[in-house]
Amino acid sequence: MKTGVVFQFVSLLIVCIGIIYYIQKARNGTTYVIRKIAGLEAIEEAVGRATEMGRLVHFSPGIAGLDGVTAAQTFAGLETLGMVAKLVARYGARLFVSIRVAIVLPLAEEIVRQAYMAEGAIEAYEPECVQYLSSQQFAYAAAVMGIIQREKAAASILLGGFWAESLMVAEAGFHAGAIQIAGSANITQVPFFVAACDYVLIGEELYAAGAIASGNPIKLGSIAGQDIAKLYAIILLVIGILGATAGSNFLVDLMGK
Amino acid sequence: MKTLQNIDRRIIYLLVFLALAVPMLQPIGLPFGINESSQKVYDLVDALKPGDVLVLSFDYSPSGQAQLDPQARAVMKHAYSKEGVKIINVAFWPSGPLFADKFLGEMEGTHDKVYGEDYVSLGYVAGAETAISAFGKDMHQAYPRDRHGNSIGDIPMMRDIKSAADVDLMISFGTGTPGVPEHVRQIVTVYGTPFAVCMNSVSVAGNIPYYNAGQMKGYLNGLRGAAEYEMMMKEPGSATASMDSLSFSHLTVIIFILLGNIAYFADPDRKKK
Amino acid sequence: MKSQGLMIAITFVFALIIIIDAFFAIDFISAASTEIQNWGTIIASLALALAAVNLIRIHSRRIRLRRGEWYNSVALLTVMFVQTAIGLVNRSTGEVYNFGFNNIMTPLGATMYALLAFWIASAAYRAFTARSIDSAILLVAATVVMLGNAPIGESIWSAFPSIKTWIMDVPNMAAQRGIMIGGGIGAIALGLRILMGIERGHLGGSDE
Repeated sequence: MKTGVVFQFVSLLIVCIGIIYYIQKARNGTTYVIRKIAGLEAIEEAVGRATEMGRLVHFSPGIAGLDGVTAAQTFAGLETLGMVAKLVARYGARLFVSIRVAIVLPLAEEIVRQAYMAEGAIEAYEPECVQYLSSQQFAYAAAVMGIIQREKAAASILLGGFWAESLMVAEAGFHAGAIQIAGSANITQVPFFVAACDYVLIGEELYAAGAIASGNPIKLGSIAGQDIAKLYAIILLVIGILGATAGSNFLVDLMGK
Repeated sequence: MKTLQNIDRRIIYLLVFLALAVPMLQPIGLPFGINESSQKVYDLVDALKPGDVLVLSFDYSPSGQAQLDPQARAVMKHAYSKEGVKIINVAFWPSGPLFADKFLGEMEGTHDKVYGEDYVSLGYVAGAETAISAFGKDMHQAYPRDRHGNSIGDIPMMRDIKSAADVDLMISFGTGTPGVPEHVRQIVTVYGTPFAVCMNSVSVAGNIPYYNAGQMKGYLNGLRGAAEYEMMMKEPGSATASMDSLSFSHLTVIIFILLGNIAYFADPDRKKK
Repeated sequence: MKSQGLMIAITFVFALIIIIDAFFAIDFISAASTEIQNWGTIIASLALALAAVNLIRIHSRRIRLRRGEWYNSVALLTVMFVQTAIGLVNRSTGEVYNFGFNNIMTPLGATMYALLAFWIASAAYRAFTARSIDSAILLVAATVVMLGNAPIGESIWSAFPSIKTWIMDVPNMAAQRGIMIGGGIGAIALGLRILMGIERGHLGGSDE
């Protein structure tokens, strides 16, 4: 084993075992009640409103790619895109998915196409509704802002990894009068979303969004399993605080093992 | 009160613009103190001894220029004035080397460091966090050639510098990803290299946990951090000159927030809503 | 659905190799991990071509059908082809290419970022009202941090910077750490769901 990663490896095992245990329990029939996330509840209302108004539903899976630690945010956004696309197909609304990272484009296209197929509305599917705009952060932001304002989007759903463009896109949505549902695990951008959007998913809520929205008991089991991982983190925090208060660095040393 | 509640955003934009522009034309020179975190960055650079190795990582793009350029300019000026200190310029953002080149060009003739013996520019390496990890493990493998195409093995100062374990201080000028968390994970945690950051203000709140945990030894906070560094260098520059603009733009935002609240509380229909 | 099973299996194997490489020093795993990551880079580069096709298809159709503001599509395609040609002939280190970067990209990027100052002013005016105790606390904290950051705050009251530092270092940091830990655990749980084939939304599929 590599040096300095033993503690990390054991921690990863504990977290994974905790989550898998709860997934298995859910498979065996245990049901878990997970608190509702207001932003997710609002998605259906937003799509319904867009349908009534005959206006656009804008969706962005963020500007992160599919590699590195921020990839999880893109995947979380894409999980929710499936749900949004199904709603759009069901209601007959218009969807526009803006893409910044090229490799996300084929995934998003496939998700939207499959959603229309699942709803039996494949003839209403327009390939142009998923569009790559630019790999440049602010060129992408400018393009999204332009589209939201020109089309007067009725809903703008921003779920994924966002950076400095978060406020630009959210302000454009506000001025277009759109219902805005945003979420990111990039905590520096959350305050901007809070200031400009109607609903905000913070940090882990984004990762759980797809699972909670689906209502699938096995997925919900994995969310419940996260509590074991949190308990483990809390125990470490308490031991660390007590150790540091008593002048001992044993936990820091242990973590470096 | 209805007017106060619905001020046209163009009026807000205009007033913010004036709050930014007027103090630049008519500076007042409001005094400001030095934050502890900025002082620490200065002290870390100042404490470098002859033979010590400093890595400067340029991890930002043109959009971060307004806050990061004055920081980088001041820190580089300080670092290049330190006798005998070996400096390695790297970048994990594609546009990073352009900034390093710009500052080196500006400083030409102001220091006595010789390229290849006292400092080197390794340029950009793709791969974000993977690249940072590769750089920390073996610089010669991550960067077989420098920015000018020279083989890294032929560069005299790089002969004894192999990994992040040979580095005495690493400073990242960063605005996003890859940035602080990636450097902490791949360099600080693995090699224990002392690490400081020069970042834009919006990144500070998110990165403070690394500072308080001791993984980040010091940091400069946006334009204010740059101005503080200029003051510590006793060479006021563009950042110091922008401090009045910063003050008045902040004040303008606060005034608008207050107006919004006055309008809200004075609205007789508030309770019905 | 058969292809989905294959994709899940590939995802699982590749992810496992990368995870093992992070913790264990096994030569062939390390070589495989590097290779997989190289493939990732190559696939991502190829995806750019796919993205270019998407852009060309959509915008040429818009021009052909004379849809609203079609002239913007003409501008987009012209700039795209011209810059690609310059990059191919002059390379990204060339003078012409850099002229475009330094004189078009750089000022445009900096301008967009600078516009945030205006947007945050109008967003703050609209959103930061003391509608409840929570939002009142948020409002006061935001104001103190702003005053503590700007030199004028010090001139008004010398204690602003110290209070700002306390807010940033204590309540802010506690919340940031909580969100960071929760986010990290959430990302692991999402990763596990994807690896176990429970979450298939990104494959366009339905539930397990």
